[in-house]
Amino acid sequence: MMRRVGRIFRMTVRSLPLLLVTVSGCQKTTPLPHAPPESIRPNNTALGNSTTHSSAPTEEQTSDSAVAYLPTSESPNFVAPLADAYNRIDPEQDGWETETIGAMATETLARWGDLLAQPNTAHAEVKNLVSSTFAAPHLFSYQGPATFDDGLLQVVRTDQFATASNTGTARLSELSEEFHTVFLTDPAPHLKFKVVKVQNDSANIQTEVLFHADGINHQNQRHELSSTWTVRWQRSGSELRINSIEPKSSESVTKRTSVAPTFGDCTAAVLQDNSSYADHLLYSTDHWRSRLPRTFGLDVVANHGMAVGDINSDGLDDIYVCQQGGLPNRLFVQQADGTLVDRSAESGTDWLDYSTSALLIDLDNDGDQDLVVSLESRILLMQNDGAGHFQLAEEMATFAQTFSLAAADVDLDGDLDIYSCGYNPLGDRVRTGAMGEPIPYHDAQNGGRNMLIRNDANWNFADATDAFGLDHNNNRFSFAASWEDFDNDGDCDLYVANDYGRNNLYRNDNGQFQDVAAELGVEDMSAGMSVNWADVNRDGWMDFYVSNMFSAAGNRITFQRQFRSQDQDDVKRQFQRHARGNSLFQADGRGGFQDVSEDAGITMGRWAWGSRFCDLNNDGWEDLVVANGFISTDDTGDL
Amino acid sequence: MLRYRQGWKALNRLLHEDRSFSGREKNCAFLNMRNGQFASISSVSGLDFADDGRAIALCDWDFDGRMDLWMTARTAPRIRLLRNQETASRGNFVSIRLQGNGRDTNRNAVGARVEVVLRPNADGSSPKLIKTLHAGDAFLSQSSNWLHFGLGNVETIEKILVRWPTLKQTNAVQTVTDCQVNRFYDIRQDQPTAERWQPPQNRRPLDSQDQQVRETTQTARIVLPSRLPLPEWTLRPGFGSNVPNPSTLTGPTLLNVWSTTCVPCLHELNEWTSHAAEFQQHGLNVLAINADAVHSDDNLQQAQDLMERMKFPFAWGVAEPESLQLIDYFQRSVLDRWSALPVPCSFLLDSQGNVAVIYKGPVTRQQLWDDMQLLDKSTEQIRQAAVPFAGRWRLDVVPLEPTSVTSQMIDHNDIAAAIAYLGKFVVSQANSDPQKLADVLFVQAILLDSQGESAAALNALRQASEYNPEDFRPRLELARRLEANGQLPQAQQEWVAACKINGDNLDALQGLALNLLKQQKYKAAAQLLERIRTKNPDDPNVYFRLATTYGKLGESQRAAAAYQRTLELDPKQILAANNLAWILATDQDDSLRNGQRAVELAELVCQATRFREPQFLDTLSVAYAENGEFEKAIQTVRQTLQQMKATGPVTADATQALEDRLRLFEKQQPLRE
Repeated sequence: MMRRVGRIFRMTVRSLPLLLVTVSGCQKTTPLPHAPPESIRPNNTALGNSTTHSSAPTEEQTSDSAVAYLPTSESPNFVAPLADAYNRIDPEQDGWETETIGAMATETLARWGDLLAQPNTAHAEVKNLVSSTFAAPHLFSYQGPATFDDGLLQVVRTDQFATASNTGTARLSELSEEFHTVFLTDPAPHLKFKVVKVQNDSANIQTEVLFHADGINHQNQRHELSSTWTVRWQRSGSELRINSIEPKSSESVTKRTSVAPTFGDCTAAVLQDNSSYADHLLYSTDHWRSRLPRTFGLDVVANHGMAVGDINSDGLDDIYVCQQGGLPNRLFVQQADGTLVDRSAESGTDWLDYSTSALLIDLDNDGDQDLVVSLESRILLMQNDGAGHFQLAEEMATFAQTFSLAAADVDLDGDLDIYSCGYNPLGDRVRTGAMGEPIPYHDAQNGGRNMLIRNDANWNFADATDAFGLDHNNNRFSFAASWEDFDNDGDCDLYVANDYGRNNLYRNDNGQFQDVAAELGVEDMSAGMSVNWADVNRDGWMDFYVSNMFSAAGNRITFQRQFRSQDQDDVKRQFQRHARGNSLFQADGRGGFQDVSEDAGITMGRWAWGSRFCDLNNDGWEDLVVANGFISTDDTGDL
Repeated sequence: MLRYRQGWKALNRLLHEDRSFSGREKNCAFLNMRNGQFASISSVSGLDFADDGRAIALCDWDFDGRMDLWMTARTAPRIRLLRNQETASRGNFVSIRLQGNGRDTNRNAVGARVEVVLRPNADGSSPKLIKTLHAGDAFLSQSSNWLHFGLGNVETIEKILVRWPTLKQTNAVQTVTDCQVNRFYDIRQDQPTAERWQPPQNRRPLDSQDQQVRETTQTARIVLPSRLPLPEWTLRPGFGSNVPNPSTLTGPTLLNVWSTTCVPCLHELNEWTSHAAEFQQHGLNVLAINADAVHSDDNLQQAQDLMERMKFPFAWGVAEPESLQLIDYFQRSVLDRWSALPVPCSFLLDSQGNVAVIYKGPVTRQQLWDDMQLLDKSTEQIRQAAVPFAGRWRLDVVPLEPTSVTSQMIDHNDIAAAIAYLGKFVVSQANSDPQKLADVLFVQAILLDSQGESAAALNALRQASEYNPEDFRPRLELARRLEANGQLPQAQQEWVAACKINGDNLDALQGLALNLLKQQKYKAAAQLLERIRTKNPDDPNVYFRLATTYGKLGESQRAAAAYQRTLELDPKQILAANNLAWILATDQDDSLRNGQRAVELAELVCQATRFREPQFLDTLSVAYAENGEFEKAIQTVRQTLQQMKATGPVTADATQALEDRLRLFEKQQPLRE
């Protein structure tokens, strides 16, 4: 089955009724050691013996495993301003007519997608999808010279599409056949449509649609298609019918060697012998958020990372995993056979506090990897005894909720210093929620302070942020940072990715840092979450990739005339930029950069978090991997 | 801005309530096509699973020369090792691990730049690949310190250069030759050659398989890190046992919420009935409250019959729906994820009626006896018992705040419930930290005020001050309210107290000054205003107030100086100009008087008010007189009278005073005061 586009615009405000949910005692998997053991589960005999039997509800009515909802007698009653705000979260109620059109278009495309995904659907269902004059060229299959072919992956790109003479539903049927010819051996190929722009001028409704499909092709190869279409619509009552599809560009990728994808999930193979793997990590964040008290340090965003490093100097990498408050961090040590063994408790690293990130680095140059771990607003510096046992040697209070950590020998004195990214200022996280309260949203300057922790040897550390000139523009919601010598002058510079606005590029000028992000055009005004350096074009200069949010809704709304109509065009452009997605900045070989994001075709990384260059096919050219997705729940209407 | 703030708050709320937000997004991968462009290979790479992905770290876990990934996620599974399982068409590689000397270069060699130089092209250029060793980059992650270079079909490595991160100029760049493709090497700063590293043998095969994600459960045992009372509840009259009032129960109590339509509830009640003696032994009361009234009143009689037939030996009653709503708010406030109140649901209350543990779903008796041991434990011991897995805490316990319970109520516009809850908190935790109690009472006072209950608000502020006499905010609010009520001496006490706590706070200092002026305590007021002046030397209002105060004290010299300073800071201050003109025209002190200046000022004032204000015209007339311009003075007195008549009836006193002026001026005498 295809997966439908998350429907931002169809959402209605959900009330907060008082629901009584019957909770059964028969839980197959009870997480807490204190959960009811099997032997004391309620049993029917006890109930049967009692005199209440006749009046007790029957098992048919509410079985032990059933969940019952009792509607509340009263409707919720929000404080007026909050109710108003709730209403505004639904863009249709907030007066965005184009969003209504976007929703209708998405609805129609989704219905078409359902038909495409199922080869043998009755054609009767097709009739309301398109107008009688519907026209479209070939959309899914095209031949042509390969743009790229390394024997493993073949890419064909085109902006030429063979025309077709039929119109209306006849043409639609032909497209179905065309699609199934491409994905011949796949019983259920995936499809996805994203409406990214809406134009509504009098009778003429036009949308820009990103189309993606993937599955197994007729040669039993893994195959994916990505296209950009202009779709014109005809109104028919409360529905929109497709009037024409004009593809602007299309790209197909075929994995020529095998049907298996490049990556396979081998987690269980290395972790399954540890109870903590199943008991902690196979449960979602939401599971823990519904049983551990909030003040232990749990939030819905759940930004928890990890470090790879060799803690016992056996030449094999181990991993340290950060967790929510109330769940102890995990240190898994690699065995000779490649599997991992949980050594969290004996190593002294099983911190229960809210923890976001860690580093395994040699802070005292004694040859073993020490541990740096961020807990809420504290950074612990733990000394390794060489055998993988850690002692808390020093700790630094930060000025903010800490996210990424990045080490470098900033002053080149022979030991590693640490930069920590501050997000919410202290105390704000509790008050304003996980997402903070950025002001103004698109250029927030009320974020937490980042800190450079200078290593003064012998486990002495000092806050040297100001001393290095790094307090300039140090008031943003920082998620990530990475050191790199971008100007090839032999010292390390620093890029900082900030949420809700501008990023920083601190150039190291003889030990003093200057924020040259604006000067060099790399502020990348957006929701920065990750930064990674590599020489993408192999010219000997480091380029960098920044994760942001690609927002279909943001693209639709921010290009409307109605959007922030009272604001200057440059403010509008800043908001539009916020929805563009990820960015690639390419070094120009003279210490500057060019924004090549759109040409390179790497903006559509969705709601991106960690992203990295990674040479997936070992051809010596850096590819990209992007982790994304903000909050998935069982909720059907996506915000 | 308020609109934005409220919108943001609403959004944050929705995230607590399981709303999806850019959810089910599939991870992406892009292929570098070597021409500046990338192709989307999310699906063929196999990375297109729909986790809420977060961090990515790189490694070559199986040492097969291809990059593998570790990833973390918000959703389950929260960790993945993704193995690059390409076997066909593999490119060559070389992998480098560095070691600095640990003296002038950090041992990890973080920041080192490695160049792999390939055999020259036909045109003589030498292609090279560069990488820098990072420790912590991208998002929340540190990758393996093996630097992995894909080499495609390159068979020969010309050389490898390492630029070490050091200030030393000599040997800062090391050149290594003799490295071959598809091998792992250690390069040490003080050793001239690379050392080949052999990956271990006998590795367990890394088979790929779907992870067996664990489904969440609806049952939960939630141990509160700090105690809070349940909101007040009321029971429906005419139903339940003979112990309708829960406050009459002494000792620990298990409050259970149940429904006649919930089989696990009935099992549980039945089990407790059969083991009533055990409860007595352990000293645990039970109060079962039936929730059926939420649905309708239809089942209430059935509940009554059921309990009677069961001979339920404990207290029970039928809860009003509003009470259940409040209990629901409570349980939500404890967690970050807000979900509906389930049945059965039980609350273990300590002897003071504060919640120690919440059980969603049925609870075993053994669990209850175990948890009763927690009731008199320290906060730290409780925290250790509250986590599902052992570990160590570093930061202090963050207590649950009663205000997070009330914020649920306030968001639903139930301010009265919020006020009542804070009141209950103060009563039930009378022995807890007085500062915290003062905070709570302060919030309660603000809420009371918003409901127009000013007397109760005042009372709450008084209590807050008693709990924490050093808390500035309730003092200030108390003083303001007493002042507004006209209770000046009482207000003075609070102003003084506030100023003692925070002698730098201008609100408090000015409040006290005004209070003193109202009570005509001019001397004290003048002293205070001088103090305010030193703290706030550029505020014309302070000087004006000071000037009038000195005027009341008869200290014309000081008054004149203060008026003068007022005018310097704010030349448009008409009253200051007028009052200064009066002093300059009428003061007994010869050295102070200055007729010419008085006229200048008074004329300015009258021009500004278009010669319509009798009060200012009067000043002008006495200024003329002082300046010897008696004709003008007499004319101006007449003008004053006209203006007075124009604006309303003129009192006999006023007429008399003006006539006195006229007689004086006709005698060519100025006015003296």
